[in-house]
Amino acid sequence: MFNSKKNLRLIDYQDSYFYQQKRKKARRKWLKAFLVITLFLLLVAVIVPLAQSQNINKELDSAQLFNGEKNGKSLIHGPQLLFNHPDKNKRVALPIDITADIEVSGLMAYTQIKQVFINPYNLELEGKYQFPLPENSAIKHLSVKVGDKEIVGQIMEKKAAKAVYNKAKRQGKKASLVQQQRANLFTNNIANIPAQSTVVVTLTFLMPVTFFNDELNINLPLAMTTRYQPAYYQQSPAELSSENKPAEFITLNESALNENTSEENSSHEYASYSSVSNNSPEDFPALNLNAPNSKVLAKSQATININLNAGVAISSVRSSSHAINTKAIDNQQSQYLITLSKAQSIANRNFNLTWQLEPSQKPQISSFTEQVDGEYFTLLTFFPPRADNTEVIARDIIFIVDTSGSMQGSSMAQAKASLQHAISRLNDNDSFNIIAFSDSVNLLFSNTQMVNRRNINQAQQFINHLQADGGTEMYRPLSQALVMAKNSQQSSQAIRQVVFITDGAVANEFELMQLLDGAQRDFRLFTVGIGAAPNGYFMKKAAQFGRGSYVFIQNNNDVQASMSALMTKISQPAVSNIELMFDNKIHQQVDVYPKKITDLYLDEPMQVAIKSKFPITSVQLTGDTASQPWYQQLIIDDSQKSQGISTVWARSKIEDLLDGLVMGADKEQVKHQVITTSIAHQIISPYTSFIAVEKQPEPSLQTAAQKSNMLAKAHENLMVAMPKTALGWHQQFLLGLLLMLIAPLTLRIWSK
Amino acid sequence: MSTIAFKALLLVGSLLCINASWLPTKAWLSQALISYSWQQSMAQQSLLIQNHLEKGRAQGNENKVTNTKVAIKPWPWADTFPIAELSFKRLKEDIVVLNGGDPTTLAFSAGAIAPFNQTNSTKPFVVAGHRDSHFAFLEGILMKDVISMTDQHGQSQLYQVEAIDIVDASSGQLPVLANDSSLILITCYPFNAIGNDTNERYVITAKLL
Repeated sequence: MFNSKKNLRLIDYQDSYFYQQKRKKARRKWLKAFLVITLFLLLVAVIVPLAQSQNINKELDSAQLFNGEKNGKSLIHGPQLLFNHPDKNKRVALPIDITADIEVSGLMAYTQIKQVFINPYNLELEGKYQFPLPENSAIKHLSVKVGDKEIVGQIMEKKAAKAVYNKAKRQGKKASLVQQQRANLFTNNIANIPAQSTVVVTLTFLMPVTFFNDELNINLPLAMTTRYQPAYYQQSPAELSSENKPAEFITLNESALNENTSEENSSHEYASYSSVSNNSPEDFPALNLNAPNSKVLAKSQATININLNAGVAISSVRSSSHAINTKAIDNQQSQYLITLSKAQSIANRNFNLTWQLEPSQKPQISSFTEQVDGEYFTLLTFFPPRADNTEVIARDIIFIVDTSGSMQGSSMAQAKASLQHAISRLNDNDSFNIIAFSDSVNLLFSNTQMVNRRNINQAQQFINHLQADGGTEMYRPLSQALVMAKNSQQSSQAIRQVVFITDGAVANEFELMQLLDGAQRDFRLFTVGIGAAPNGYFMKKAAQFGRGSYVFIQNNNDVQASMSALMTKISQPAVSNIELMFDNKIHQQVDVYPKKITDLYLDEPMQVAIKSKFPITSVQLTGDTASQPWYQQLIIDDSQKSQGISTVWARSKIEDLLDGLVMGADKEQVKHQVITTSIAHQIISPYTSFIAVEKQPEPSLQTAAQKSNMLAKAHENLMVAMPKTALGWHQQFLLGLLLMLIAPLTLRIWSK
Repeated sequence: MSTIAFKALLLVGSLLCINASWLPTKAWLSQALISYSWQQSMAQQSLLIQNHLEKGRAQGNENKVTNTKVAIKPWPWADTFPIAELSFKRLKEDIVVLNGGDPTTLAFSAGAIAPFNQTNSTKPFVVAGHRDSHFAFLEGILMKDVISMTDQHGQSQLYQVEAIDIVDASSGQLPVLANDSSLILITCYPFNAIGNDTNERYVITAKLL
């Protein structure tokens, strides 16, 4: 019935279900293959450069290590002489004898250190003398005696120094300029050190006394050299320079030294130990890697004499590094003579001396004098009272916060955190206000308001809503802060304090300085530097003009500690508005530095240097403490003679002259004055160089064959901040790409 | 379900890509504005100097010309202004340097870090830039390359690359010899690394010729 006559033909429909599936499968295969290949390629593209860069790093590490060894760039903790000996192991020489005379006057230590080196080899060698100067020290004088010749270092005008240098170079003398790897490393090349001869280097410098937790402290670098392993070398330069790490090495050295005492006493030779066997290898795993150079131990003999004169009564003197003998010289117990207890002690570590002052409820002032070329120099050192029961003053405080575009990101977060923290530290008797600015100014209140819960809440909200955008126009907020009306409830005694939180990216420094300099009202300016690369110079100077101080907050973790310290400090000035008054006769010719005397804060002693035509016999000091006016008549004891006061004075003067440049002083005139001061007082400045030239005792002896010269140069070293210099957009871009590629893949997987 | 996941992934991926490429695009776009404002400020500067000279001749003093500074912002809300132009002859690269070393400034161009942002002083001039945008070409720099720097007064100075160092930046600070007029360029290292959290910097020191 259903007999069809039609030919049964198999028609292969191209779009039949079967073919669809088949084609799909084929496509899927291709797609999968394509995806796998692209993924693979991507991975390669990502991994290869990474691996490469790491390889390069490794190569560089080793290259650096070798360079470091060659140039002796490794960490230096004491004076040393580097020879150009062909044998690498015989290059480093440490002094066999060190004599240090230190004269401490208040906050200043005048140090003369004499080191004797020998060239024990049968070769005429060249050497490079290195001395790590303590931070903030000023080089005064250098003398090097090699055989019968003497080389003396002195401050010269840059041009003159260059001329001398070039002349020496033209005469075929081997002269080379100093390369500085680390801040404050003083280096000096010494040519032609005869075989088996001695080299005597005498260095005179001024170093600061540090004050921390009611203790005064000096630290003198002595012979202790550790040629570093790359592991430590690479890890953290900050840690290495903070002298924490070397402490471990000291103990190591000692044990090694004790082991070899007999050998040491028998001769004054130098030994370089290839390894220290009896120490556990786990502690110093990398020690044996560069074994030949790994350890050079100091076997120096040191004599240290210290004349410690604090100017005020001292309660205790101790040294954490050496055993010392102390002898009080006067009956007020302000002056001590200190020597090492074994007169010839081994100088295998830095010498450290700490002393404490007798606690006092009142500020104490000491005075020292020096006479140079018919001029009289007086140094006044102010010691703050003990922090125990000080009264907190009432303040009228204004916070200025920079919300310009340059503050975007973490800087703004830090600024906000700092502000929040500062506000939480205000007291009930304070009044405050906040000014936020970019190219416009945004005020919290129109004038300052007393601290109460409502105002604080309002301030906190204000801070939370701050956003970084726009330009930096600092002039208006600053001038507003200087003239802003005080709250009527605030007492008239309250000090106007301005806390300025910024990264200091300004173009008109000059105008701002003029504004601060010409301000009529009494105020104190404290600057808080924030961000990766704040303009520290501007902020330091601004604080100086505003008789305040500068704090730098490097990262978010420091905000709390730094702000607390600042807020505590400025709430308790020991003495404010300090003024000096001299007798009428000499008043006309005194030259006082710093020109604007800052307030005396707890935990921060300060000094004032005065130059006068006639000796000063007495000074009257006035100021304000928290509760009452402060007055003191100071009789200057001219028996308290000390060296280096003129240097302190000259240093402040040069700084002041250079500040004048910011204020628009005549460049040539400033330069001339700076050079004159710098040369007269032998202190380095931007216009002068420290250069060592050979002294010819008898000119007739000078022959062409006798070629020897040395040059030294001390540089002013500054730190520059290194910001983040990678956008890192590649990472995000690749991630995005990867996600886009994964997307079709998921579609396939899900559809299956 | 699958299409949702597909779309979501595609969307997130493309957003990430666009966001990432926005950074180099911004860097590239801003260059045009910056170089325009640089030319403007140069033109104004020369005009200013001319005026000063004319006035100076009339009054008999030609001082203080160099103290005037023209700062033209590349866009009105910018927090920085161009201060110098660096040109690398061999690499055929020119870049206008902005004032400041903060992240915002560095996003637009290389920036001179205070206090080393004075062009004609005895201090060094320190410039930092991103290794994956403006300073990417520094990878190709070689010793003895000559860099010319044009300051705001239109004066050019030549520097020659004297040292290339890779330094550790975990301390965040680089010691610089302050009484030495040199040009220091800083960028991140290694150049081809992924991510932006490297602790190494490529420091190129060029001496004044």
